[in-house]
Amino acid sequence: MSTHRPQGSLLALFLIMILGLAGCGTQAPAGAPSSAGAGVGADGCITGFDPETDYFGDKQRLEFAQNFTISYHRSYQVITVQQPTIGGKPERYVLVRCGAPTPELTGELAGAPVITTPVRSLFSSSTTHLPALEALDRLDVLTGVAVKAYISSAAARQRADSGEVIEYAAAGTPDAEAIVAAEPDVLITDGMDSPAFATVRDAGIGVLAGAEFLENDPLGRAEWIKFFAALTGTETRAAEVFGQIRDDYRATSELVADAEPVDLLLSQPYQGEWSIPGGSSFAGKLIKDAGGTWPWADDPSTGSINTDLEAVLAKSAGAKTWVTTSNWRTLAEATADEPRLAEFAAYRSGQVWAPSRQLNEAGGNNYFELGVLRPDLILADLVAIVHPDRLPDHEFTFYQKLS
Amino acid sequence: MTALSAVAGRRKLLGPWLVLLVLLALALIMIAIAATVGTANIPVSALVRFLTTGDAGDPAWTVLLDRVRMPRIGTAAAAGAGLALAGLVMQTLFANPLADPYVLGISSGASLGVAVVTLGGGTLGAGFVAITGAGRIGVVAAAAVGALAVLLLILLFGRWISSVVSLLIIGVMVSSAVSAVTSLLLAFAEPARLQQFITWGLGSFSGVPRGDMLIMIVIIGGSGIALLGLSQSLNALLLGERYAQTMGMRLRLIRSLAIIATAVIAGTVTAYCGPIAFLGIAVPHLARLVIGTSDHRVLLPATLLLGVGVSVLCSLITQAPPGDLVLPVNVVSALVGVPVVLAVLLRSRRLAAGAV
Repeated sequence: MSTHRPQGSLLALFLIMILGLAGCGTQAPAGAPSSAGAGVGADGCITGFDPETDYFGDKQRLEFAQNFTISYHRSYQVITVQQPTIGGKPERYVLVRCGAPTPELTGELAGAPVITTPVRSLFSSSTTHLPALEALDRLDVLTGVAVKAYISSAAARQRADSGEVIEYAAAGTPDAEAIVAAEPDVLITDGMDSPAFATVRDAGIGVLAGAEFLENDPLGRAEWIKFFAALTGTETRAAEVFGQIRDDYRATSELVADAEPVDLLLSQPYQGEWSIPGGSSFAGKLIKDAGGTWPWADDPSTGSINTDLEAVLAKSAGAKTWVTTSNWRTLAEATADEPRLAEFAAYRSGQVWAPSRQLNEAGGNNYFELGVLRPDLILADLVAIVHPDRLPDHEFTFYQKLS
Repeated sequence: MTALSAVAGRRKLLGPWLVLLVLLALALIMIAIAATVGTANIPVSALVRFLTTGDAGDPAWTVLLDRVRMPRIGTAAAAGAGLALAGLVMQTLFANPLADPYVLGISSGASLGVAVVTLGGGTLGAGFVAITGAGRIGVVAAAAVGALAVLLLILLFGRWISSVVSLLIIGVMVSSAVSAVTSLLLAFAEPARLQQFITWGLGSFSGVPRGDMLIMIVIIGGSGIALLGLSQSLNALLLGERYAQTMGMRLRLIRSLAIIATAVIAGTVTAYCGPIAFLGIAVPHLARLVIGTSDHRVLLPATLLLGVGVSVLCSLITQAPPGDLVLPVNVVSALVGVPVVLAVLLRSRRLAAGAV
């Protein structure tokens, strides 16, 4: 889920802190809520509450995301996350517009966390949330991250180093005491539960599941920007950003709609085991939309298929192009991991690609961070790999050909 | 299993050497069956052609058989033989039917070594990238060093503590402490590396290329020969360390030899295949049942042959699910190994009474 970067030198850290502090001064007014309507102040809070008024003029509709829904109830929203963790039971969160009274929660909503929106402080357990907050101009609400070293985005990095953001899982496990002491309005998980969160919930802090990785559609994952928009009151901005990503994704996919699918070799083995994307998986959808195919494309699995080198060698030895999910930069790294990879035609022709372009020396990779919000960028890279004639002169964002 | 029971039932009629011949035949049959089974569909005729001429008729099949399937079988056979022998020697050395390299923490030591080179210090340590680039030989060395360090530690305690039960408890304690350090590394590890380490822990015979398999066979073969040469001393040890010493056995030398060979085997297998579970404890018991004697001159070869057969069988079962699915070796070996140990304990009065 996360990637990490090396610690910068003290001087660089110092410079970043100065820049960060300067940046905050200019960022503060940027996050004005977009859906301020009748009876709503500039801070997004209701002035003179009227139970009959609908305070959500700007209602978000979800087109692709399956794992969460938003419903509107005049002065509050209810977000339902279907699977907060893998196989988890649905959770509901009540987002009450500030200035409105807390509604009486009965039935399914009894005991649900109540969060006052727009939130002023947010803890994020996964770097995948940060590009969404950045795109919404609301990085200013970020006050806690799990591990600072994992952040790739320059703006998020600057915010994290500004002194207003604490690190609450530096040792890998969330520190409940640090979270409770900091009293954030809300903590967004990375789609995993932690024993520490029970204590955090007990202390009255809303723990919301950031389970975007359970979406099988690339645009569904990107649409989680609307989850953050609901929390920060930036619905209009989210619609613009997501609309653009969706349109770009579709336009890129259209480029190869009439092309004959190209047979590909996918991912890479470890210890002789080879995990191949299923036909309905996230990675599989991207490959199909990029005009590619692979021997397991018709498998209905939404996850990956655990098979071995023998099966893949039998079926994909002749594929001309290889799209890995590795951190490799050179062909030599590939054969150092598994000498038998040299048996593949794609390896011998040198058409081996890895999402390692934005990989830094410590192994951090922006592909796993920005890639969640920007599947359009991943797809453009893949189209340029699979059908180079359809996107000549493409500037690669995440992928590079192994040298 | 039924064939083995039949052999066991007739052991009074057959001499131990005849049983060894039957076990050899069973191991070879198992290898032959394994050569025909895999996720790739290769006809038996192509296999026969490959074995006789070195060419399967289709270049793709030749590559699959030569570079993938044969190394997998060879690795499984070597790992099975080595672990079974090491397990038997440990059981005799510690006079405890529950002893195997894993119980005494040798595998935990090997795991820690591998964790250090695959996970590094994570966000804790600077410059861990350099040591993670150690490659296969680095991993083997790290695993062997980890395994040997733990075993020597156990033996060091063994010099002060005469009770084997206490020594076993110390082994479990050392194993827990070493595992805790591995857990510490896991807590700080990057998720992708973490997943690699977990996959490694599930065990696999298919990640070993031909060249590495040959290295493995040479190392395990050498250690195995050393262990086979200890059969007389091990027989003496069955009667107790004091008795063995009065017989003129150089106890310390024999002990060191057995321990070094065991650690090298466990370290090698763990480095190349991950911590393969249960073969080391289950096969020696199975071998005693089949051969019907504790005489190490025949028990050691029987254990070796059974180790090959059972390990190759496990490797074969990993390929059994329909489609292209593959099971982890440890899932299969534990599911095969546990019932075997239980059945042996329940059926054998001698073992149930606590004899080695």
